[in-house]
Amino acid sequence: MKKIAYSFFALSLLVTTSCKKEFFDINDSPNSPTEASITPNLLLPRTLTITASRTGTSFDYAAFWMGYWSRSGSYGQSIEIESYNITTGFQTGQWTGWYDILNDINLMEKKAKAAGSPFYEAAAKTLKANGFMYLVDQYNNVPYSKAFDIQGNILPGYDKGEDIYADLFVQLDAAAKLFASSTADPIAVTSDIMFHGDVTKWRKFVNTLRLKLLIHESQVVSAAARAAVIAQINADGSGYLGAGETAAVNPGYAVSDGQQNPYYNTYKVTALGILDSYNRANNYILNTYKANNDIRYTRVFSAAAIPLTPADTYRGTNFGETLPNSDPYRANNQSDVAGPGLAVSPTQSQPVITSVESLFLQAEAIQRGWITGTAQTAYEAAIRESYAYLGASATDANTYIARPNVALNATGDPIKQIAYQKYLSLIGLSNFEAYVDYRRLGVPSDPAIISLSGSRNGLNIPLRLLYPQSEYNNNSANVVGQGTINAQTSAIFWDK
Amino acid sequence: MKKILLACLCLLVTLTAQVYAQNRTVTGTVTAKEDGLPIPGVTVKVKNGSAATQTGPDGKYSLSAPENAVLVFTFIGYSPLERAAGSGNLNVSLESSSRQLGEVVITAPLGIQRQKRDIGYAATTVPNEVINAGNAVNLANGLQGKVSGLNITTTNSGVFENVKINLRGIRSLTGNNNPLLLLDGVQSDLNYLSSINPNDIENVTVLKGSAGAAIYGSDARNGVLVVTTKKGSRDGKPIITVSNATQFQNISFFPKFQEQFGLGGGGNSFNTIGGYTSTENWSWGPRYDGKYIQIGPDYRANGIDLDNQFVPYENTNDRKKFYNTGSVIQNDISYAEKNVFISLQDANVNGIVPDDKNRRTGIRVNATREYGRFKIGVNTNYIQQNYNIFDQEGMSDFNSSQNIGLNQGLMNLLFNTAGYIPLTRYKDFENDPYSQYNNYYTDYGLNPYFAIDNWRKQGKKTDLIANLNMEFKVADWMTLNYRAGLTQQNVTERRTSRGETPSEFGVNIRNFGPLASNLEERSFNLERLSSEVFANFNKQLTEDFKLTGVLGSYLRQDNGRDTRVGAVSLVVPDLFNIGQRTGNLTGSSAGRKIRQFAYYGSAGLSYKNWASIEVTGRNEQTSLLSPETNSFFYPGVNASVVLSDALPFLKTNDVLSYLKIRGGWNKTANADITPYQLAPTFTQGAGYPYGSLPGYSANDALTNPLLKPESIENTEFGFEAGFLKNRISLEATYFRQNNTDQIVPVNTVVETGYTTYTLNAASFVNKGVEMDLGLTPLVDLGPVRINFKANATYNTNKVTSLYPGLDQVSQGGYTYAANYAIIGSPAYVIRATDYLRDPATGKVIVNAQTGAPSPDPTTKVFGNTLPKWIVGLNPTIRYKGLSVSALFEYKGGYMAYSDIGNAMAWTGVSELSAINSREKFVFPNSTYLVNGAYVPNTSVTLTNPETFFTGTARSVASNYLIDASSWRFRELSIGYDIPASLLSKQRVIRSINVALSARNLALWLPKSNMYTDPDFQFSAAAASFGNNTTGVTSGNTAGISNSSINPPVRTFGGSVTITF
Repeated sequence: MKKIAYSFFALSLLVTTSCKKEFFDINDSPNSPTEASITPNLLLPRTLTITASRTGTSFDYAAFWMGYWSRSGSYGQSIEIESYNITTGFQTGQWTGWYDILNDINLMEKKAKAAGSPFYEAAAKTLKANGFMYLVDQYNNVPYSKAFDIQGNILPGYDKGEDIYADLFVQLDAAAKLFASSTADPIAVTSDIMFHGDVTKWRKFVNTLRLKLLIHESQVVSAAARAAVIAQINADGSGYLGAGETAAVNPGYAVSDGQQNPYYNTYKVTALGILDSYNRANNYILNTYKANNDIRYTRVFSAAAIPLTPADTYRGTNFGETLPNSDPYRANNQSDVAGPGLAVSPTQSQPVITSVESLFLQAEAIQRGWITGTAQTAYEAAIRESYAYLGASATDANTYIARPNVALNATGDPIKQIAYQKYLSLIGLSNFEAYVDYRRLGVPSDPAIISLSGSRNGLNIPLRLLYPQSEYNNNSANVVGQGTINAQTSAIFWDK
Repeated sequence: MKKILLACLCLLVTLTAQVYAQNRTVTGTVTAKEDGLPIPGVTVKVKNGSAATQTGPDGKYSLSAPENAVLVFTFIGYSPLERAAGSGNLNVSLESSSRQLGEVVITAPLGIQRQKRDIGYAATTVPNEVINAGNAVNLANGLQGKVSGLNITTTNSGVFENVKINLRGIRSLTGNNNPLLLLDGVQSDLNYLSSINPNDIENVTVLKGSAGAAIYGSDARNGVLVVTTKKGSRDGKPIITVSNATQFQNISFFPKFQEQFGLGGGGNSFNTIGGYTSTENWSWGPRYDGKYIQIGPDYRANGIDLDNQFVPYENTNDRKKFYNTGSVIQNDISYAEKNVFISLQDANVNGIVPDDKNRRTGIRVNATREYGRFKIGVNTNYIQQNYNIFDQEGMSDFNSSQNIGLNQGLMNLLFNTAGYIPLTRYKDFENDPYSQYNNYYTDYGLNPYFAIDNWRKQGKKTDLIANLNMEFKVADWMTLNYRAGLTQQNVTERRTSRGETPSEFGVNIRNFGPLASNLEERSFNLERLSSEVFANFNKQLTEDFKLTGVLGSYLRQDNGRDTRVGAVSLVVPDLFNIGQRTGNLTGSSAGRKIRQFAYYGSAGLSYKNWASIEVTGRNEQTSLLSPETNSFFYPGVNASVVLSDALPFLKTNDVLSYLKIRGGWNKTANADITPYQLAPTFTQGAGYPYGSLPGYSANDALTNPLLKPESIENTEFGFEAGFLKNRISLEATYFRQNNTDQIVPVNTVVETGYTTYTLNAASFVNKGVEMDLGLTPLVDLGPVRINFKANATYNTNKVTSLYPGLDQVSQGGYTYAANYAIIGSPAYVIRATDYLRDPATGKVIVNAQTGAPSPDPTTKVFGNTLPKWIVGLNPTIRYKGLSVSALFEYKGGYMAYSDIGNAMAWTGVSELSAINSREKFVFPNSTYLVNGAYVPNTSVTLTNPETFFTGTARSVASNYLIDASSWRFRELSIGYDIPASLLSKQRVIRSINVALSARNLALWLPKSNMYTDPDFQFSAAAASFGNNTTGVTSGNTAGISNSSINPPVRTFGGSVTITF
């Protein structure tokens, strides 16, 4: 008995004390990959899909403010959007959403650089410039040079919007050169869900983006700085995205929950059959189209599911208006914003920059004398491209272009005319670009786009977003250093 | 009752009774003076002799004693009595006292019994009777308010009664401040507290400081709850106990609602009160007028064969009536004999949420056996819980997919229901047409009865807790022990949504979308295996010196997996099989494994049984940290002196009967992080993989790979004193904990690339005083005795340093109000947004035209979120077999944020939203700018209360901050033992006890608190892994409540216990 007991205790002591180092070496995650197994080709697809879905579906607020869309009769007012009295909780997803993608892009750039794969490095630089453009255009000064360095800058300082813009041109030129030097990577053909490894198309995208940035700062950019960028674009020589060359992403959208085209899924119907019953045509733009006999309203808006009268096939609502409950028009009696020209199918590609937008950018640059070409031709080509993109006929496009008020010089201010036609063409394609042009050039200038909300109290369309509350909570000194931000008066640097 | 408890304590220090055959036999019965009932387990000893015995269960004894011998009767809790043994029969009655304070036995680390007088740190033992005074279903609730320094808060009132436990405030900023649960000597998950049958408990010892960590390791840094279950009957004879406890629960506090306005909205600067809308969810409509009014849509006009609904336009109380009276019916049967304890329990819980049910069935078998010098014991406990509850997460997932904000939980559906809506009329949503999905009165919310039926969570949770103890007595002064423990938890759960396809009327007229029919199957298992071997020394070196010591090693592995598979869209409604779906499967199968190994030792020296000192040390190694930092050592020392024995002049003092002083210092280190945290990970983005295309994204959390363990240095001093023959006892401890290298997941801004960065980021000092006062008796009127006990804890802490470059660290909460650690302030303080104010006067700046204030995005510190003071008052009255015990509790000196205030203002149902009857008003204490100077505002009115409360006010969290202080009548129990004389004619039933009990009877709150019982706080679910449906939550988001928790409840009921 005694012997058994002693040997038992001795054995258990031995077992429990003979722990080797390997015994504790069980802390590598069996659940998720870590940095070592992540290569740039695993990061590129998701950064592209999110960039595209953010561009296409996160700028409802701009669509509301620009007179494109409005709230259906089935919903009560959305206070901040309709009163313009925005808070630090308004649209915080813009900040977190873009920085989240940018972090992945930043990692992809570092990994590509370390692995010596110029294609991914160039793609990263390009997408990074695109992301920071959206941040600057909504917040002006944001963390840029101090971002994505948590060890060195746990409380990242802010860079001036104009300095960020200046560096984006440097990065984009580097990207163009890297693309020029790289050859198509066989893996990139599948992971590059935008251009399938076609570096020429990427270079066109880079050039279009450079032009877009220049146009955004059209009111403030110095001639020298602008000429330098144009020279870089010309040196690259690939040109811009042309007719039919929309830069769009398709990872393999499918009719399955979470896998549909984001525009279709958000504004038409989800894979689970839930219809969008919030966003509806804004009477302002609907009536504008109708007044000009512009058939595109039947392409960007759907016919009401249940028109209450034959005249109500296409019916919108007035932005900010609170109607009594007795008003019979509900979401089903109004036109949704996923018309047949925009929401073709749940598996369609999702644009990042459309050919329509590219052609309008070029038209304005020609009109401004920045690049060569005939403004009239470029302007008309852009309108035709809009019709073509939306599936409207070329005949209708020609009829429309022939209207006296559509002529380039109809108002005596061709730049504003280009911007106004751009405004009528970008609905649903780039709601945000319209908001940029509104702030930059004051187009559309019609006071009818202003909210009818009773709680507006005289406020105007905000010039920017407020920094999110998370900055005041967790990066307080830096955000407070930006001064008191007033959404009504604190303009983006290019908004002069 | 008390005697049995004391008897059990006594058994733990049982002296071996040896009876010498002497001249003659003395027999008799020992009874208690107060009630005349027999006392079992009393030691009867011949003075200056060796003969001794103990009384049996009937209080009888029999002892051979020399002639003229004097017998000494001693029993813990009673004054010793000396009587000359006359002829044959000697009956005595003992008077209870707490004179023998120093003899109280404490279950010290490793389950070793120690006399309290030897221990240099604060420890309290709570016996079964005290725990079960209020018939709590959950052991933690049974401990509430009974131990100084122990802060137990019930965080929710569902069928699982989640609780949060803190001892002496907090030591970790990161979240886990839970004490260690030591179940029959085996380290177990604290969640088991909710599974154990409280009636199986012999006693619970609470080791308050981190002294236990010296032996148990880092998990014991927050204190230890040593739970000992019953091992056998006290006197070796078979005992069968049968009991039934039936309790009811109802709502004890409901938020304050406005009772003036009905459905509608759209108030503006011209008409401050909005128009009526019969299908609204907002209560921003016209004032009640008592006339009949329509609710819901026009049915017939839209082709539905139903009359329109008309109800009186006046307030009802239906929202509160939505909740049921809950019930708990507990049946227990147990069998105990010398070496065996067997119990069965069946508890049937019906929650206050309609249809919420949980049935807990458990069986316990504890057995011990001695073979000479070898002793073996096995404890096994198997518990099965079958529950069927409303799946709150299912509903909020649906709401967020619909972009419906502010819909955290069930309460929110009530906030979307106006006061005059006859809510309870919509119970029968299957047959009553007005209650059905398509016809429910509002366009913007679900019928809550429909919602709780649609989203269900059904599960089975089984727990197996088994341990094996072996003890071998090598010599009188040394034993070898081996202890193996197994705890295994399995949860199989299904979450379902029945779904609904709207009718043509629903789609076309009301714009209702389909509700997906879906399913998630979950299988979770977690097992912990531990193996411990130690030697225990106890040697009397000389007559004066005694050496005690322990040397041992401990090895543990946790292994678990959480597998979830789901289908987001089922083809046939109600056919819940993931095979019958459209679209892809969803799911994950995360696993984890953690290993820990430690060796430890302690050595104690005691002198003349009045002075002792003990040193301890432990080295721990864990798989959670990198090899560079994963091994750490921590030492400790504690000492105590019983001055009343040491100092001659105190020995004879009439006033001071007992005085012990004690002190301790120890260090603990720990790394309480989840495994695999050191390397940043990546996840497939939403929608990925698309076919064969993968797409990854970096996760938002980053951890310093060279994380060090955090360290706690604990110092405590205390005394235990008894006055006037221990009629008054007083115990107090001062403690100070210096917590350094705190591992904190710092909330960072997204542009750093991560939203949390886990670092050794903070240091703070936690200190306080805990006090226990006992007056036994307070009043002694012969048969009536009134005792009084009180305990109080004062606790505060202060952050001393943070990670370089940071001056504050945020830790959970909401965007506009969150918990922060800020240098120089207590952890935590609430920082919240406020109105823009004139810095000179502090007045709220309003717009000179609209009279409306604006939010200031720069948050301000408003106060701390952990109570500074906790006081418990516990009077008891005894008269013969009747005992009455009450418990009052105060918590104060802290504040809380009620997010439901915000949610209720948004829908216009809160009392606050009806301020000034919704007419224009001058914002209180406001000012506005005139020509560059602020002038007091006396005339500019805020034109539109609706826009204000549904707009600006929502981003100003200071509106919903409340003083969280409370006084409550925590517990009342009335017990009655059927007098022995009534039972004396039969031999089957030994005793019958009948008890009535109630918990949370009354609550007194400050005026500012219109929202909830501050004990009921929101605790975010921990990591998704093992995210339990039940049990103790570790979240540190103190002082936050929202609508995902049910309203607080009070409990009342009765029990009958029969012992055979």
